[in-house]
Amino acid sequence: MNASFLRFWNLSYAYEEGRAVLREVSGRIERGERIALIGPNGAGKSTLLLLLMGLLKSPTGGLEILGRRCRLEQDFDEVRGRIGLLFQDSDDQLFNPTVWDEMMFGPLNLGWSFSRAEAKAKETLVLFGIENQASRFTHRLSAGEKRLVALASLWVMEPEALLLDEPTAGLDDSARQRVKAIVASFPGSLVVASHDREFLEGVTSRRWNLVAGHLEIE
Amino acid sequence: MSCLTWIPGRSWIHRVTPEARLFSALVLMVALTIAEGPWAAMGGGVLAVVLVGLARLPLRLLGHVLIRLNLVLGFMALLLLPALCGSSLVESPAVRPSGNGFSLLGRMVWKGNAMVMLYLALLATMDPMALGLAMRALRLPSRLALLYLLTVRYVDLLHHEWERIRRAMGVRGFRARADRRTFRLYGHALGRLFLRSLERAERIVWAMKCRGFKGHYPLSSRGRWTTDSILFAVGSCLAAVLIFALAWIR
Repeated sequence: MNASFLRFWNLSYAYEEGRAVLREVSGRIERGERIALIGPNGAGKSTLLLLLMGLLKSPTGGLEILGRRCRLEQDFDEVRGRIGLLFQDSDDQLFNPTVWDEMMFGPLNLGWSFSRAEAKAKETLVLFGIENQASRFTHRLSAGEKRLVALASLWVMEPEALLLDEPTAGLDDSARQRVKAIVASFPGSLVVASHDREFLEGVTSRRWNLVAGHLEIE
Repeated sequence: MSCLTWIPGRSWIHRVTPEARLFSALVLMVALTIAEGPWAAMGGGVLAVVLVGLARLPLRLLGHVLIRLNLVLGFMALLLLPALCGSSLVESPAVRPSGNGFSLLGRMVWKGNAMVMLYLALLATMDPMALGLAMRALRLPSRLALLYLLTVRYVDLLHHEWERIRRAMGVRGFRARADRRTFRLYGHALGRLFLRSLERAERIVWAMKCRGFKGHYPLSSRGRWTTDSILFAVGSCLAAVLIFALAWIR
């Protein structure tokens, strides 16, 4: 079968009645495609990512992931492990006590065996160069460390796609470079919402432009 | 800076694993609560003092906590005094303390102090987060543990958010006074805090769902019971048995 990884059509969303953030946007993400999602503040970049994950529901249009129509919460439950969403604020993402718990949370939820989850968690920590941080409490990490751990906690689930919301916002240069190197090595599909031009040029190859609630695909 | 504090250190107690310490604290506190009689109370008190010594708690801090505790207990004793004395206003205008009432009060104060010392020595010497993990490792009700862990995780963030709001008010010249405007502005600030917390709670649930959360919170590490911690737990059980045995002495 030759279905797109993700296809969506006519998605709309309004936080307040009469003030739509997104107006009937459509698009598709192919396997391995790397997309930069750009647009001014408040253009609806984060909203679009939340819609794609089924966390917000569009009153119009629809969504298909891996050729499967996703409407209800259960439909999304099944695909969520295969797509990782990095939140703008790492504190939203890191709710587990320690870095290690953070790494094990996703894989165990997906029903992996303990030993498989453990092995993958260790491997990922090494890949991210944070293997000596495993026992640290997440709320005591620096902003850069938090972002790395949040990204690692998605990576460990072996997702086929990553949706990143402002992955470099608030990071210093060295943390930014580390995030960039890791994201660049991700083999799957990628959507990055960001204002960081240099970062986007380094890791993505296509551009989606969100302007006034419409999606322009270049 | 965190608004949750604990007592770090390098004592022998600090090295016992949190699970063993939580287990011991629970066993000893239950024993001390249930066991009756002055000897059991005495035994528990001595044990608490020994544990405080082993944990090398700073005496100043211990003093502060115990003074506060005893002020509360003293206040309670004042309220209960008529009942303790067994006197009624009609019978006699003078207060005639009954021996029984005072010995009960004495035991209450004694046990209260012993409990708090046990708590300080065994539980306050670990990071609040570690305490939550220990709750999970001991298979205490998982909802309770999860609730506690999330509270510890986010209470700081709430605190920071509140500080941010207050600072934002401060830099624009706001000074708290006892007037209507102050109350109204504090109302707005609290409302803002509440809204932000709600929004954050929603985003956290999203983040959990995104990582496959379906209502069951997985346990991410296997318990680590070292020889030391097993010895410590067994020792506490023996101590608890001893306290119960002391309760039999008349």
